[in-house]
Amino acid sequence: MSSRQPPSSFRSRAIALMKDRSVNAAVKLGTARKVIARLKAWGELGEPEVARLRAAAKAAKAKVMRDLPAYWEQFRSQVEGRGGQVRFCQDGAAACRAVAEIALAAGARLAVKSKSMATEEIHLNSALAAASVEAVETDLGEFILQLAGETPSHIVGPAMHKNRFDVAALFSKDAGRTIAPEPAELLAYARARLRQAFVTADIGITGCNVAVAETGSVCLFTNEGNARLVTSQPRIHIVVVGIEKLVATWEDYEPILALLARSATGQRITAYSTVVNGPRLPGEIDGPDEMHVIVMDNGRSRLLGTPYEEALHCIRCASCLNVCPVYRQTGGHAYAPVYSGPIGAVLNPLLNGMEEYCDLPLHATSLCGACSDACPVGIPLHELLQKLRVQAVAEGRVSGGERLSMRLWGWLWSSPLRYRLFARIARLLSLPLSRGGWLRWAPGIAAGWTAYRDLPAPRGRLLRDRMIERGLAK
Amino acid sequence: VSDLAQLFIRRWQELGGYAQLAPTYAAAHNYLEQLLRERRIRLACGWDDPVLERASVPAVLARAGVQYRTPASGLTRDWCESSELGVTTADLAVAETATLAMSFGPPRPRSAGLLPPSWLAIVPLGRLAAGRTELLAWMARLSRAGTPPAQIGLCSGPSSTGDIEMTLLRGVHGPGDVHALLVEEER
Repeated sequence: MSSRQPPSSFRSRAIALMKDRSVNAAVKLGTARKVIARLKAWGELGEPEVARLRAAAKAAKAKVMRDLPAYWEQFRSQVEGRGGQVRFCQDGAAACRAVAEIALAAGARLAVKSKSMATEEIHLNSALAAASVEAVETDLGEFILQLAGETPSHIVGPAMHKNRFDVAALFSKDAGRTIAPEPAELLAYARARLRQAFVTADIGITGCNVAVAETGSVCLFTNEGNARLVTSQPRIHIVVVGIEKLVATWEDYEPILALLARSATGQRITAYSTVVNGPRLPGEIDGPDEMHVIVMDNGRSRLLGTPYEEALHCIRCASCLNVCPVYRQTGGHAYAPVYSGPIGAVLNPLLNGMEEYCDLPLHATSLCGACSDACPVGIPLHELLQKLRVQAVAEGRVSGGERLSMRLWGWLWSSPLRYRLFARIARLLSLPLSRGGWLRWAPGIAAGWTAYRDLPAPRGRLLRDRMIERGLAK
Repeated sequence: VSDLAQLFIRRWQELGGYAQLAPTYAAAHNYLEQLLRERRIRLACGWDDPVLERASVPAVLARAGVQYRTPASGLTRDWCESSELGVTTADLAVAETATLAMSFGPPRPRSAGLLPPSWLAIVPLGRLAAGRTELLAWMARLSRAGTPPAQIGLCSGPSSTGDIEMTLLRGVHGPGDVHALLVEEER
């Protein structure tokens, strides 16, 4: 009983990407720098403070998940009390329709967007294009990807896999003239090009890093300042937010403010933090006349009350991507279209279906647990991945050969006698294959293992025999 | 307080901004005059705020021949977009993260410190705070008020990006040239 595989598997995408030297180099450098930056920032806080903040963040998220509809109701009444509109949407299609309706009613032609994974998730840009609204991404990385027609390969550094020569080629094509692959020139082009969009757009679209229920506040973090431009220049502001981004109070917001930037980029705080409480007040010369908040479920509420609920605590810092030994080899495009790395390997099968995405928990993880250690809100990512594996096996989503070999392995190791026999036979078989203290090649199905790994050859006697000699085992 | 001021200044500078302690409002004039000369400012925008009045910002700019508007003198978004310098104050200067916290409103437009390539914030030293605790309390108090500001903005250094080969680049969308002037004198 084998499942329908997606058109291309994680394994085949990963192998192709690992052969792309430029992507490989960019991803290795980018992730390594981000890991060092996070550790430095956490180190400055000190271990007890980091532990306190992580526990507080986890508690804040757990609290809001227990009564999500009531907290969103509180958020809605606050926003509507100040003249904003809040709409709840069951799925991505409904959220796209809601945004398109607002655009249509306003007669909008141009929308500027600040970076938002939620809108990537629901393919909002194509929905807007269908409604004759041009959407321009204003985060520099997202703008680069929009020109390239690609999806983000990293949650925080979406164009991590591109180098400046790639960017110069894309900008030159967009400009219709040659733009040198010098960072300063590339920046100057992007600033002028996007500034024009900011001041002429009818609509500004943002995601939401944190929503605060008690006051109906939408909090946005950027380094470029684009979210502040998006929420101050166009006459309409539309927020697209997943139901999981809520906290109850400003006290619950504190640990996320403290941890998000430190974990994502190693900064103490992002250059711009913006709190939007509603449309502009009478007399203000900037800020939107209308503010709409589209609250989107899109499969998330199915996780509430299940062993996977903690996956909803994610604050999208991408720490788990940066430490992941699999992500660091493959980059984000080996995963599903939007969320990559360990959190993507958890969220994709849960939100979009095991049928298509079960190969992520099966093949995109070594279960080493580095992701869980790095997660600032304490999501036990590797445990969730393991649970998904168990589920995939129970649902019959692994090949007959794999099931048979696992069953055989289980049978061998579950009896002390068979285990001892196995150890002796394995030692005897590996000795003639070893050269210079290493086992580098093995025949048959074992060749798949040694193709990528060298195993130290057995040396001396078995541990068990030595323990018996010392009276530590029978 | 002086240690905190030093911390704020050091960290703002580390982020790539300019920061200084001005003993008096007269010293703030000098800083502003020098900035106008060095950046060859001809058009500027700013807030209607008692702090900027006390620092005689409108008078200094007029004397230097800079065209300057605030909401009271008919400031528009287009004017902000054409301006080379925006002048504001801040409600709080947080030392731990080198953050200037601002509540926006009719006399205090968001665009003033955002659209021009250069931004100067003149902040009385009494508004200096140590860290996150004070910042959070301020944000919560404002948002819980009967009529909260439509937007609250925190700024820590220049607008920046690392999206091209993780090279730090400044001034991508907001101002890349940012000046924080802490004024000791209390009037």
